[in-house]
Amino acid sequence: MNDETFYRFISFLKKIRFGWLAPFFLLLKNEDPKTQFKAIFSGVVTPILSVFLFMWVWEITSKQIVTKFGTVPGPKQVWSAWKGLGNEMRLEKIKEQEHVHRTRSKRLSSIERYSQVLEDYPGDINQKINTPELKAAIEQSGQLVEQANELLEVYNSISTAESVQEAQLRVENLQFDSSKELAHSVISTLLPLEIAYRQHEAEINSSDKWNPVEGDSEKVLKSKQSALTRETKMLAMEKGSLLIERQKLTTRSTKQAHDIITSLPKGMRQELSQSDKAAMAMAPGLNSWYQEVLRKELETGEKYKGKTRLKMLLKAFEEKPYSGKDTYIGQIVTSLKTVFFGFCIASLIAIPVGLVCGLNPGINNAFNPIIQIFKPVSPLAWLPIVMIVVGALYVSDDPMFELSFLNSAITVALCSLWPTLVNTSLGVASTDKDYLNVAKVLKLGWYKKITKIILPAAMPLVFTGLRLSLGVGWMVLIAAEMLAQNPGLGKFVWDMFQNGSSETLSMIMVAVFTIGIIGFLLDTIMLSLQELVSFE
Amino acid sequence: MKKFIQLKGVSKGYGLGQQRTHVLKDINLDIEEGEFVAIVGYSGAGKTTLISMIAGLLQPDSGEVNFKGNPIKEPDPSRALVFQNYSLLPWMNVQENIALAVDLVFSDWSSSKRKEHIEKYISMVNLSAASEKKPSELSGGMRQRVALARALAMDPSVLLLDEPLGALDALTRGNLQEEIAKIWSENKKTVVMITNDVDEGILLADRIIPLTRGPGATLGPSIKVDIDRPRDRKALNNNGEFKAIRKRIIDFLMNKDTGQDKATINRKFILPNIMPEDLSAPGTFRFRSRRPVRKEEFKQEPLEVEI
Repeated sequence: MNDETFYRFISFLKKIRFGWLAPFFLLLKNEDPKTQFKAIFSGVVTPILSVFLFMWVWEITSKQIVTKFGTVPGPKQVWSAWKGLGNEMRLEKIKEQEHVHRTRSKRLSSIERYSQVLEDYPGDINQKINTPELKAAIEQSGQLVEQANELLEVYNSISTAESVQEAQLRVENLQFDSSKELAHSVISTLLPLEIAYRQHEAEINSSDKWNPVEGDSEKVLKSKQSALTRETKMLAMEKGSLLIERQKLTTRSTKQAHDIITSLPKGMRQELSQSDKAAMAMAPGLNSWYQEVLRKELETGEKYKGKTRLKMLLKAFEEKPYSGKDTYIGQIVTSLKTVFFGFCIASLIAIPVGLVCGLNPGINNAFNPIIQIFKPVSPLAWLPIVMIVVGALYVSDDPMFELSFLNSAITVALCSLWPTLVNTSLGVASTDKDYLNVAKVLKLGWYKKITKIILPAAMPLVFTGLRLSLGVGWMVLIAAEMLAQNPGLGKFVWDMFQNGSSETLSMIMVAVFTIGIIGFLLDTIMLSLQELVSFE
Repeated sequence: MKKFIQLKGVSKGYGLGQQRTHVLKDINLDIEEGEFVAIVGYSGAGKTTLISMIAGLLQPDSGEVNFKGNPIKEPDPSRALVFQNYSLLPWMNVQENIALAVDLVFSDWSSSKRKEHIEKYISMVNLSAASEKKPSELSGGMRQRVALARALAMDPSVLLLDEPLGALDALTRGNLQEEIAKIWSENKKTVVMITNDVDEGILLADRIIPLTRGPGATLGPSIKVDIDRPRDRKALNNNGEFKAIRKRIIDFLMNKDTGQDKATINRKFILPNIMPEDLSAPGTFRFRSRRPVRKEEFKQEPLEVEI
């Protein structure tokens, strides 16, 4: 990298709010280390310290607040909830693998059972659909699925044991070494904690030590009350640490199970996917053959004797996609898709309208009241209108978009329209008079005048508008998703709130951080684009 | 014979009603083809207004502005204007800036011919090395050269220069003056240059015309510069003719030979918007009563000033 590009890169970093990285690069160039260290201190160390301070305050205060879901989660719990989400994704993956395995083995057994029918098939039969190697691969993957499933069950089977001895007996029933190993570590670490917690809980529930008895003085009543509160609080804390331990174990077992299920040798995996492809390629041929058979039957009245078997065979070739529940990443992707779709609608409307408004003060005056009145309207007010109107207008048997997706996208568009519109019209209207004079002297046609002079001159402000719009859109989206029940981060928050488990708050906080970080990244992307089009 | 450029009794003002100021009053000017005319005057005297009317960016309130016998109604590429602040488009590089003009004026040419034409003018102003650069990467002098190249590349019949060197430092100024002189001697185009530098006008022009101080500025006597070209800046300082012309113009501009040394301008006052605190008010906890009273008042009065 030559010097000029290097310094351009540094100044670019500064413009997109990554200026704190600059001193590290400058240090690499050994440029005035003293200044760089100072810059690192103020730009990196201080923010990190303040984040730690924030975490500390959070940790301390969260412990003081007891809600119906337990104490407010601190940073640790939120972090473990985040890891829990990772587990969930791995579990989904394992389930999917299981589903795929089941489809494959079903197909293979159907092909084997109805091989006679298949011999009558007039088309080409791809031999890949039934080979000894395939059989071995399916068997192997079945083993892996079983192994993984057992591993996932270990915790449940062990932790419900009343005593260590009982748990050890249960270990004997396990089939695979991996699960036995895990079971032993559960017995040695987690089981005592579990048993102690259960006992403590039972003790509190059954004991009448704290029940008010007739004749208790007010003082005694009060002390009983406070003792009970103290005990409950302690129990809650015990539960908290138990949860963290459980989380650790689940993470470990799901990771292990995930590794196991994906550990099929490469050759076998290839064999499997080749047979999948072969079957998929044969499916239409088989289907038309079946239709042909049906037609012939109708025409001649003669029954084809293999019809039922053919139908069964056809079923095995049908592809049933796995329909599990949305993972967290899936929800993030949905949210991003929605916000981009809404943002694109908004931009497609706002930029041309803004351009026209900026070019013509009369039109600008005409639009002004509408803009001023609709600009401050909250997404929560738009959403019901959008839902009703879109629900009435968008009726289709085979909809390209889900209704809920459209609802939230259009709400996003309605709310994020205004910053782009206002900024575009301002940018166009405030085009430097000198540039317009150039256009006049050159006698540029209106099209060239707009594309060569006005739009480029307005570009920085247009992009400022777009950046603000995307920010507004992302904020609006969460609210819209919550209300419209469109899958996405907003719905995730709402669902977590509704199902009210001990993890509710930490999950919502994970979502809050995710929303914040994604919002920041979107803003940075837009800021970089803005820098690229600015000509100063 | 029709005059090339002719201004007859032109006047122009801005503003409404009482606020209206007459910038130019009764301007008469004839310019012949191939002539280099410099108009010298104070800042704010209405020089830019004058050249904008010749360019067609502004229309006079009264009087006529004719080009080859026809009234000027709108700007035209045949009267190329070089703006005081360059007016290069910052999102285009040097070549694209010039191409914007060339592609428009010579739209019937082949693209390779246009490209060659652009290259020729870029090298004419010695900017071949910077042809890919954006205006923000160029110095003031270089930017003005690009603006000059853009105007020249349009092959106009008149080149209008609006204080082309006004924003440059003295040394760059000198260099560019020589370049303009050289380019003019090669092309022999009609040039109308506006400047606030008397020396510059004498150095470059065939004819130099002072513009009196506004408001209501008008053109003074036209003074022919009969000094052989090429004119050397250093030698010029000792040239008697140069000194004489210079003295005449400066005397005129300083109003030594017009007898007019007073003008009336409208002065607008904004009276202080705070009345003094009323200290004689009875002392009380209710500070409100002692708060200064805000008052805003405009006042306008004619004022005679010496110029």
